Amino acid sequence: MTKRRVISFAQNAVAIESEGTRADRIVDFLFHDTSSDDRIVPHVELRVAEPIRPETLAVFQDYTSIFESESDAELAEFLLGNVTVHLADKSHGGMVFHAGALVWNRFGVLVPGSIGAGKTTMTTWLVTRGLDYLTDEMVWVPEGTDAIHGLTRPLNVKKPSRVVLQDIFDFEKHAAEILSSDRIDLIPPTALKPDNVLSTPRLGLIVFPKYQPHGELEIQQLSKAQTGFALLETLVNARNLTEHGFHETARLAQLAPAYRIRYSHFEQIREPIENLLASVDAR
Amino acid sequence: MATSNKPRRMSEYRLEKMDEEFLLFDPAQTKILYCNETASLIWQLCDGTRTTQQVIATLSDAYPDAANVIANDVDATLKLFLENGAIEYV
Repeated sequence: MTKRRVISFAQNAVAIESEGTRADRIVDFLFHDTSSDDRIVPHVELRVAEPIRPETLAVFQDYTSIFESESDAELAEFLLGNVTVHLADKSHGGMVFHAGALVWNRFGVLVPGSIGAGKTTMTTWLVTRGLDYLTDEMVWVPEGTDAIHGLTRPLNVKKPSRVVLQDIFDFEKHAAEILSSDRIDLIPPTALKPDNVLSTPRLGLIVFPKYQPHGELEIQQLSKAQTGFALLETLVNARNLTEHGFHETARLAQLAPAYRIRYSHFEQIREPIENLLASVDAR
Repeated sequence: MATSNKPRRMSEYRLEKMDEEFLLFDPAQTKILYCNETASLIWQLCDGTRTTQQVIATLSDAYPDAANVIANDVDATLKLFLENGAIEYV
């Protein structure tokens, strides 16, 4: 029995076929909350199935195996990364940022950052503080709008972040709900917040995080131009946009307050973040 | 660079004015420059008719309290612009 699922984001789509209970379970785990628009023709067709070797699952593209593993978590990590790259590659109609996103009182909180900045760590913590989760990886803002569309997927927590997060999330207690490998933990948002609500909020606040293991808290409010510059550094699909998304990103940068936050532990940022969220409430 | 040379903005650069600051973008090289308020003023004065010395003098007249640092600021900023292909000297 083959199941087919279309994952759509930023006006493009990837199709995934899964064969067998194990493959179905992984695909459903990863893309349960991801949007699906049947009107968009997928530009990539993937298949998750058992290859010849027993106990192993593989990801196929165009009838060629591109990844095999005995580990569900490793396969899930690969599939998640592969789909995300394909969706970013053909994205258009707006800006795609490398960013986490959450919702607070109907407003979107954007958490942009390059690899290693601590987007997922900050996003995870914010979900435990009561914000609704949208994504920890990629956000699409349609041209001319300030609507935040998240690529909703399990949070992809790298192993070094587990130490940072273990005080706010009991990994052992939730072991049956998450997929873990030597490198990552994939955590469904409902494991962090059972009543998580998905939506498409308007942009209300931008936080550029930088986690560093040691050091003092630093919070800098960014000017609009600094915000634009920092956002452009996280723009994933510039080559697909008019003028590389320069004017659109500059427009977006002027719509919400932005802060750069450097922190070493969550207790440092609890009060400042609450104050920033209160300022969003007041908008 | 001699202060008698005249810096001129490269026309390829796109500009976004945000409050008193600028973002500059060169689509050919996909290069982005952030200009704080001072750098934005310097950019505006790079019209190919003023020498570097005249740029310094104009800013020193406008901001006499900062006159002692303006020459260095102008020098450093023009160097940055030149390195990024944002200006040329005529």
